[in-house]
Amino acid sequence: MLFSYNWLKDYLKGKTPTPQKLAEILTRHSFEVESVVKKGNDFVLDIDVLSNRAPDCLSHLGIAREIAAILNSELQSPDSKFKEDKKLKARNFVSIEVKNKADCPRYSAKVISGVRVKSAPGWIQERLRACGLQPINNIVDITNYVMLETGQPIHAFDLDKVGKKIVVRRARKGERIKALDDKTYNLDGDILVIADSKRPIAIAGIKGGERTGIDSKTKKIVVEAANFNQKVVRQGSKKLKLRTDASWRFENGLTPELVDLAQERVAFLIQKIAEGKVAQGLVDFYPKKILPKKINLDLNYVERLLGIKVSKNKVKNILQKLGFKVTETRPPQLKVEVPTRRLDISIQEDLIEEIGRIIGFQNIPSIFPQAALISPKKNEELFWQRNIKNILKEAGFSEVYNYSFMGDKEKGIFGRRKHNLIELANPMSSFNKYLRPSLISNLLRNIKDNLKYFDQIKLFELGKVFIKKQNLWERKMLTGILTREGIKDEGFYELKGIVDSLLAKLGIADVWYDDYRQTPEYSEAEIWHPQKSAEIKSNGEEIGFLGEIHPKVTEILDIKERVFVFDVSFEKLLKLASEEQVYQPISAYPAAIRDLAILVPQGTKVVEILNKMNIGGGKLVRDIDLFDVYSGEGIPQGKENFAFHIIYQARDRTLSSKEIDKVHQRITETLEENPAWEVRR
Amino acid sequence: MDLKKLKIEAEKGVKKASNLKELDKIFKKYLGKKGEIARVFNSLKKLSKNEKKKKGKEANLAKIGIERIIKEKSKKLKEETRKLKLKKERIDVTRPGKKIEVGHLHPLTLVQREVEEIFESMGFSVIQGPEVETEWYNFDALNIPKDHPARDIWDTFWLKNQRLLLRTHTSPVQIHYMEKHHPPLRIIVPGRCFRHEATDASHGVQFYQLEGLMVDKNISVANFKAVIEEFLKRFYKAKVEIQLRPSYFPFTEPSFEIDVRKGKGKWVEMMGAGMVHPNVLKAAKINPKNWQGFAFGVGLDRLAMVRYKIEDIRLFYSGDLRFLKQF
Repeated sequence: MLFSYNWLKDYLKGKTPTPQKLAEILTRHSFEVESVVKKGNDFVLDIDVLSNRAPDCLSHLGIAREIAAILNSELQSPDSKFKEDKKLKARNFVSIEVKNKADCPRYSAKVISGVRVKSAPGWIQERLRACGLQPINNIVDITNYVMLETGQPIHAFDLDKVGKKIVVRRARKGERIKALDDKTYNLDGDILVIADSKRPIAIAGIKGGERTGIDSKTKKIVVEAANFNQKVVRQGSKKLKLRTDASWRFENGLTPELVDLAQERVAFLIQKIAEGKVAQGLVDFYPKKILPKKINLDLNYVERLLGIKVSKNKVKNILQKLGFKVTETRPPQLKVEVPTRRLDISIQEDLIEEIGRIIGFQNIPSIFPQAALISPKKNEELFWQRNIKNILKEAGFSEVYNYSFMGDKEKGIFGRRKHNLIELANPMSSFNKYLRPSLISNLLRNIKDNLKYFDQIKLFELGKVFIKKQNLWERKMLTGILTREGIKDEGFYELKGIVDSLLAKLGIADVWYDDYRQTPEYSEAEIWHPQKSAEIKSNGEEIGFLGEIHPKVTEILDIKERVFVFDVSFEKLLKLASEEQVYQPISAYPAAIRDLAILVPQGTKVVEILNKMNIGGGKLVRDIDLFDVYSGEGIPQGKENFAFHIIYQARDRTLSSKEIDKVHQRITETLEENPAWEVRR
Repeated sequence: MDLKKLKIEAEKGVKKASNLKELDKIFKKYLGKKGEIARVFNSLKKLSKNEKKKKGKEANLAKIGIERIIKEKSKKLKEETRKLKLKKERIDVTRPGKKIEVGHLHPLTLVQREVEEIFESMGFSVIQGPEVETEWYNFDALNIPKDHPARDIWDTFWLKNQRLLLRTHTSPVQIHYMEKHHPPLRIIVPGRCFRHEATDASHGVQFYQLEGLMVDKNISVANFKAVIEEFLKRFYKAKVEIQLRPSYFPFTEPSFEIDVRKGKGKWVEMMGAGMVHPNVLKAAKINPKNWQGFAFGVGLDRLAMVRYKIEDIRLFYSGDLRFLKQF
């Protein structure tokens, strides 16, 4: 809200700090001052009043009260003594009917007759303009002025246009009102209105109606100062998409007690400026008077919570300056009566905040807590997360953080198990209609974007995906992606090597790869290449997938290269990972290496050959390495040549070449049990 | 031959030798199996015992002497040869180094690790929690009742057909944790959060927050200040000044905003914090009469932006390698 510096000064006794200084003080003790701008011979302060303080501080008096408390000076109340005309009785002019007191806890009307509508004096106009309001005429300007002064929204009706009865009720469906902004609003039962005997004359707490507005001919006015239910006003304002200075104040809550001061000030100013005669009495519907809350404040707790000792007198002084009444009971207790305007205060801690901020949080020293020496608990998940990220980084992969969403386009491509997608009720745009069910879609987008600048790309992400099972299923995945210019099948083996070494470093043994068998029902929307993808398994369980992305998918996404992906459940990795490691003694006896080449029909799996070799070799074979796969020239059609290094070693002796020959021979024989296989000599 | 003469001759020869090959010849001539010294030893057989002893000693001395000078010369020649060779060997040190292919961790990972390390050293455990939440954990338990205008502060993504939402802050994890752990407690919670708001350089639909919570018997505002100053000092690796401004959060009372500045620089708004509201403790079944503490929330994106002078939050989620490779 915009505040006039000169106006604030009216309420402050003694010397007021410069506008800049004032802004600084308010920022430290009350609210952030966003700007200070010179306007004529005044300064305008834009103060960001916190929402919980709207009830008492969206007003010049409220801010002045803050300043007085911070500076420990006195607040000067504005004059509100006016004369009532005993011959005129307000209740003879107007009566009030409130249909539901929950919607409207208070409604007051003051009648002033014989007003002369003209322009307001310059000083009122200037102040309104400083606060961003347009002057209209003296009556309307005074109501606005008093709102900016006290925080209480006020409305003035032309009494001759209203008739004798004012009704506060919900609008009926189909009712309409033309408001002072010249727009017509369609009303319904969610909206509270002020009505005469027939029609709505104002939208309660939001905007006045055009028909009963003040004009140059107006002689008699009725001044409304009321209190409307904050939820009702909020709901109405949202529904009509109409936010006003009044609705803003009601939405955040106001005390019905504020009505009295506002009515007095309006009467005082109108009498002074527009020469009206104030009818005697206030027509007031106020069935349940609001009484101040009382809170016990424990001075020891003040010290314990702030960490600084504040004397009893200081506490009393701060609270009194802010308008609280303080009485001493049994030390260290104080009884504090809360002014009704302070809707934000209901417990001790709220009072302690008042004390803390007026002293200034910057004046509280920094003291390290005295707490038991408990070492932090190791977070296993985080530990492995850090490890995994480091391993992949060392392997040349860069980490990305993608959005947790997926749009319609990806839904088309990744729409497998469409019914498992989680949809947002209120997406921002078509790009984030769904929660991502997989990290792959966004990683593919990264590939496409980066291929413009890089000819080799290795990325990974570790993050949450969301799938609908019976309930929502939020789980963490680890996904890596690899491509480069002209990449072929070696991409698969490269990525497989990465997965192998990752799993090995996580202490996960017993890993194997099975052909990925897609279920026919999903094959239409499959993202994996049907012949070039595998299930990664460990400990009898599938932990993820590895393979090439279906060419159809890369085509739709306009990715020119082949793309390889591993997609692993982080949670399963976590379960299997182990820090335990046992040292394997190094054999003191030399190892011997023999090579073996074998000719097999194309399509034979290496794992089949290795299995046979291990069966034949027994425990003297320490390791077998595949070092070459070849087909083509010199190899018969339909055959493939695999070449292995076999490493022989015993724990307890040097193997003689005779011994090794024997085992090597056994391996050869075992392999050739398959008539289609031929060990080359 | 006279041993003295022999030695002088050998010395001359050695001196003259200009390479290792020549030196080797000289070695063979004098010290070889059939060399001059060997001949002298052979000739000893014919001599009397006394003479044999005398002459033998002389011959031995001559042998040692020649051996020594040859060894010295050999060392010298070797050094000369090496020097000559090194002179010819040369590389261009200004040519570019061979690139080693290493990947890059995301800047948010790096900053998160740094922050975790600082708090872990102060005894805080690192905790994580779900990204999809119920209204209870995201709002009600945090003292943000339904229909309260304060709820409007947190623009929220809702899931279709379920009363579930994407967490708007990491604060729900406070409740989850306090439900399962009894005070005293000290935790930080890093994690991804979501806001239903328009994206620009400083706001995004998703961001990372780090929540902190310390609950004990006597934890005060003064304690909060000390802990957070220590954190900021270590994060900025410099002396920083902090300013606490009054603020409003439903889940803390008192509440404040923390501004930071380095030297005489501008104040930068860094985080929101406060003393845990008794209603929050109650929601987690902790008796506020016995326990009190502070909580704070800091934007990890904000910290990373400060650390690396990044001006657009959207870069973090772009997956752009031109950006990522800088970390």
